[in-house]
Amino acid sequence: MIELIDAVKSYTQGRRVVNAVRGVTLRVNTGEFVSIMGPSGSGKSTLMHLMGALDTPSGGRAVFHGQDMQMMTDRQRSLLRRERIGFVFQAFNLLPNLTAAENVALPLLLGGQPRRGSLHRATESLERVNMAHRADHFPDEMSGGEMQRVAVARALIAEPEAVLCDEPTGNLDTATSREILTLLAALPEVGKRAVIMVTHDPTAASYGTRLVKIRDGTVEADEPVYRN
Amino acid sequence: MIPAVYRLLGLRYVLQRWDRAALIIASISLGVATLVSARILNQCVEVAAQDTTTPAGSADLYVTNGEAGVYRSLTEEMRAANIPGVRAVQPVVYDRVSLPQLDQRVAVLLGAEVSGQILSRDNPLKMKVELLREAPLFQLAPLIGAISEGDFSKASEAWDRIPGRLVLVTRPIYDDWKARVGPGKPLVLQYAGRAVDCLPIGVVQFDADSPLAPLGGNFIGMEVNQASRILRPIPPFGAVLGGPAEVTAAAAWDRTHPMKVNRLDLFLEPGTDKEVARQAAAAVIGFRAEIRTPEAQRRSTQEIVSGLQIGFLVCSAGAMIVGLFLVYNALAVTVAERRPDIGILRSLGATRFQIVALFATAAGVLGLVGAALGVPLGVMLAEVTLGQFEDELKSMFLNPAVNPTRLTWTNALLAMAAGLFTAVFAALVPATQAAMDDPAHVVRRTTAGSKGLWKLAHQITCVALIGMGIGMILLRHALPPRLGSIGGMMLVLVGLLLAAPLLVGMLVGLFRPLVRAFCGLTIRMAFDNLSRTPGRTGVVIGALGAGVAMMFQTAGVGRSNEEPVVDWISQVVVADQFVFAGNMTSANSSNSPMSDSVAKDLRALPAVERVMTIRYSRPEFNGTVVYLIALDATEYARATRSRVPDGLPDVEKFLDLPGTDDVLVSENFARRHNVNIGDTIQLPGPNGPVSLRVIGTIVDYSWSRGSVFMDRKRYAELFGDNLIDMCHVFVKSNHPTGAKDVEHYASEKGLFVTDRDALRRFLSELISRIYLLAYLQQIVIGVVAALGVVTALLISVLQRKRELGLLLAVGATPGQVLRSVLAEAVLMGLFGTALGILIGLPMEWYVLKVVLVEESGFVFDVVIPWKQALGIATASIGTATLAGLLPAINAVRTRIPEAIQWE
Repeated sequence: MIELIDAVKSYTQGRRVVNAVRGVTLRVNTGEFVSIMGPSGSGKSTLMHLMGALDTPSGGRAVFHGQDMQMMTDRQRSLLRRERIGFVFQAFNLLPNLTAAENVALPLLLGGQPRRGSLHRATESLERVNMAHRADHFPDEMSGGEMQRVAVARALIAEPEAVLCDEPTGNLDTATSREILTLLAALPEVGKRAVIMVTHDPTAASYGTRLVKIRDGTVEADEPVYRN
Repeated sequence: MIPAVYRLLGLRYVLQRWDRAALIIASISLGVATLVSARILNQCVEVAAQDTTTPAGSADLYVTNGEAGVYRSLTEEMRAANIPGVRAVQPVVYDRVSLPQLDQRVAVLLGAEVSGQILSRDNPLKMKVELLREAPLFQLAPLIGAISEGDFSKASEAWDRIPGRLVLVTRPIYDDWKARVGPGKPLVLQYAGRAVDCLPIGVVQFDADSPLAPLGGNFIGMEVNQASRILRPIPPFGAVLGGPAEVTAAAAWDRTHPMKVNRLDLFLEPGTDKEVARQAAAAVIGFRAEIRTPEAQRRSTQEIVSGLQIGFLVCSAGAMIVGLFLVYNALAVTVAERRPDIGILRSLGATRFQIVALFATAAGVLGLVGAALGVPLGVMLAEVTLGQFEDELKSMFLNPAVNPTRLTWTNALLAMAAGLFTAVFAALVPATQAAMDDPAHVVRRTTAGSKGLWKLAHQITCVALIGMGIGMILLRHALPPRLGSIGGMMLVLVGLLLAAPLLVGMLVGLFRPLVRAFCGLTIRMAFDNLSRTPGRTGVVIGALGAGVAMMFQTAGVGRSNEEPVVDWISQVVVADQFVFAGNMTSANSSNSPMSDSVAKDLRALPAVERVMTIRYSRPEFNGTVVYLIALDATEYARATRSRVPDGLPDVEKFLDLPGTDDVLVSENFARRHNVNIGDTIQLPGPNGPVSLRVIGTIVDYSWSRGSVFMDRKRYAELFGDNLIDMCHVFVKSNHPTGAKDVEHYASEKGLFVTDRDALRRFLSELISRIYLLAYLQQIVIGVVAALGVVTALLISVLQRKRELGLLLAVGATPGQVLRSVLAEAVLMGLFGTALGILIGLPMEWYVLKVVLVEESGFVFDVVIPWKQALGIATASIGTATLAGLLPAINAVRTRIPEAIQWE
C-alpha cells in the first residue's frame, strides 16, 4: 500500500543541512501495524511525513497504492491526506477553538460536506472511541487521553487506508497510553487499513505487528513483533 | 454564504481575538471613512461646480461666452437662420438673488422664455408646475392668449405690462413667504441693491433627474427678459421700477446696451449629428460666442475642481494604503500565531487554496465590518469638513445649498468594496506565504527555506514601485495632467512605505554600535528586538513615517507660503473699510454685486477720502477659469502708494491702465499660461473674444490659475457690466466721525462693512482653515499608524512571550519588562519620525517646486518648518509611546510557566 523506495530526505535548518532520511526502502501493507522506533533525531518522524504525503523525498520514491507521491500536485496530496490517510500526533493537535465533534468533523468539512451531516458522522466516529459524551466539549475541557481519543476519532472519520501516528502516547500517562495503544492496535484490517506508529517507547512499539528500527536516517532493523 | 469550514475556523478565531480584530476593523473603517468623505466632498463640489457652470443644463448645445454672457438678440438671429437639426433656441439667464423678507435667504433666479414647452408636462426641465389659486388670473389673460397663439414676442410684451414680475417658486420659498408675508403682498427679491416686487403664480416641483433638482428648494423662475433686466440692470439702480415706466427705460437702454443673457440653449432634432449642428450654428454666430457641447461646457470647471478632488483622493488613498499595510501586519501575526493550526489543517488534507481562503474570508469579514462602520464615519467627516468651509462653498457656487450628506449607493458600495478589497488584499500575502509552506515544515514547526524568494520579490517590488514613480515624475509632461506629478509621487511613497522594513534594517544597523556602547540593558533588548523582526516593525514605522512625512510636508508648504502671502495681504488690504453686499467670503466673487452708485454715495460722504471699487469675474482662458479683477486703477495705485510707501514696487503700473485695453497679469498667470509682457490675451466678452494687451506682471496670490487686472471703466465698456463687488474705502484720518459715517451708510443700504484688521484676520483664518483640513486628513493617517503601533507591539509581546517569561523567571521586575516594551514603542516612534522627516523634506521641495509651480505658477522658497517639525515629532513619539502602553501592560501580566512553554 505505502512504499518508500530508496527514499532520501534532506532539508536545511538555519544554515545547517540535515540529511534526515538516507536511502530507506520500506513497504507497508494493509492489516499491518508498523512501529517505527529510533532515538531522537534518527529521522523517524521525517519517514512518517514521507509516507503520509506531508513531505516528498529529495531522492528515491514514495508510493501510495502504486501512485508516485512525488508526481502528485500539492492539491492531489492534500486530497490523499484528507480521504485516505489519517494522522494522530503526540501533541493531539486539536484546534483549541473547536469542540470535539467539530475537530473530528474537520476532514469532512474541508471536503465541502454539509455541517450537519459532518457533525453526525463525527459523533459516530467519537462513539467508536467512546467519546460521544464529550462531543460538545472543547479541548481545554478534556484530559490528555480524551484529547488523543478525539484525535483518533478524527483520523478515522474518513475511513482512511492508513493511520499514521507520531508518538501518540508521548504526552500520556501509562494507563492512558495503554488504552490508546489498544485502540490503535484494533484498527488494522487486511485489505482495508494499516497503522504506522512512530515511537521511541519499546512498550508502545510492542503493540505493533512489525517493528522498524531507524538510526541516522537508515533502517537498522525490520522485523515482526511477536506478542505474548 | 460562507462555507461551514471557514465559518468554523476563521470567524470563531476572529471572535476569540477580538482585540486584534478590533484594530483591523478600526484601521479599515478609518481608511474607508476618509475615502467616503473624499467621495462625498468630490461629488458635492462637482455637482455644485456643474450646477454653477450650466444650471438647468438639459440642452444639446450651448451658445456661451462664460460669465460675460451673450446678446439676447442672437436668439432671434439663430431662429431666423433655421439651422438644420436645431429644433429650438432658448435664452437662459440666471444668478443668485436674495430675499430680504425671508431673512436674506439666497435663491437662484432663472429666466427662460415663457413657452408651452416650459409649462408642458414633458418639459426638458422635468418640473411640475402647480398654479396658485390666489394668482390674479385676469391680469394673465393677454399673456395666456399670446402663448396659446404661439406669438412669443407678444407674450413678452404682455408679460411686461403686468405690474410686478410673475414668478414660479419652489415650495420651501412659497411656504416661507406665505407664512411671513402672505399672498396679499409681493415677494421681494433683491439683486445689486435693487429690490424687485414679484408675484408668485405657481409652485414648481422638480423630478429627481431634473437638471434643476440640485437647486433643491432655492429656485425662482421668471420670464427671461424680466429676469435679464433684474440681473443686468438698467441704471439708475436702486429704485423699484416696474410696469410701463420700466418698459420705456429698458427700450432706451437696450438701444445702447443690448440685452444680455447668460447663454442660449440649443435643442436638436432627434438623430441630429451634434457636431454637424454645432458647426452650422457656429457659422451663424461667428466669433460672437462659442458653441459648446455639454462635455466641453464642463471641462474648464472640471479642471479647477479636479485639483481639489485629487487632493481629497490622495489623502483617502494615503489612509487606505496605510490601513492596508497595518492590516497586513496584523494578519501576518495572525498567520504566524496560527501556524500550528495551519499544520493541523494541512495534515488533515486542507489544500493551499483552502488555507488562503480561510484567512482571506476572515479578513474579508473584518473588512466588511470595518467598511460598514467607515461609511457613516465618512459621512460625518464630510459634514464636519463641509461645515468648516460652508461659507466659502456657498460663495463659490451658484447654488447656495451645498448638501454634504448625499451618500449615493455607488459611493456606499464602492466604500464597502474598497474595505473588503483592502482587507483581503492585505491578507493575501501572509496567507499565501503560509499556504506555500511545506506541510511537513508546518507540522514540524520549523522555518521553511522559501523566505529568500519572498525577500527578493519584496525588494524587486519596492525598487519597481519607486522606479516607476520616478519615471512617471520625469515623464509627467507626456502623461495626462497630474498623473505624472501626483500619481508618481504617490507611487514613490508607496514604494518607500513598502521598503520601510529594509530602511529600518539599515537604520538599525547604523545605530546598533552606538546603542550597544551607550545604552542600558532594557533599551538594548528593545533595540535588538526591533532589528530582529524588521518585517513587523518596519511596516508600522513606515506607516508612522508616512503620516509624519505628509504632516511635515504640509507644514513646510504652509510655512513657505505663509510669509509671502501674509506680507502680500498686508500690502493689498490697506483701506480703512471695505463695503460689500453679501458676506466676507462672497465679497471677493461676483456672486453678490452692488450698483456702482454705492461708490458715488460713499465718495460723497465728508469722512471719505477715497473709494476704490472692484468688480470680479471668472472668464475662461487657456482651458481653465482665471480671475479678472476690474478696479479703479488710478485710485488703487495712489491709495496703495499713500498707505504703503515702500511696498508693492510695481503698483505704479496700474496708472497706465485707464483708457486702454491694457492689462496687468499676476506672475503666476504669466508663468502658468506662458504669457509675456507685450503679448495679447483674449478673454470672452458678451460679443465674442476681447483682446487685451499685457503690459506688466505683478505679485498676486488671489487665484491659483492666475489673475488679470484692468481698469474698471474700460471693463464696463468692453464687457457691458457696470456692477461692483466691493468698495475699498479710505477714511480721512482727521475726520471726527470717520468710519462711523461709512457704517451708517452701509447699514442704511443693507450692505456690510468691515475694517482692515478684521478682513486681514478673516483671510489669515481662511488660510489656516485650509491647512487645518489638510492636517485633519493626515491626522487620520496618524491615528491609523498609531493603531499599527498597538498591533505591532501586541505582536512583539506575543513573539517575545518566551523571552519575557524567561526574564521574569530569572528575576526581572515587572517595571523592567514594562520599560523594555515601552522602549521598543519609543524607538519605533523615533525611527518613524526620523524616516518621516527624511521623506517629508524632499516631498516639501517637490510639492513647492514642481507640483505647485505646475498647478498654479506660484513660486515660493522652501522654508523648513522647524517649530512645527518639533511639534510633529513630539506628537509622533508620544503617540507611539502611548500606543505601547497596552501591550506593555499585557507583557507584565505574562504567566511565567505558560510563557516559558510558548513556542
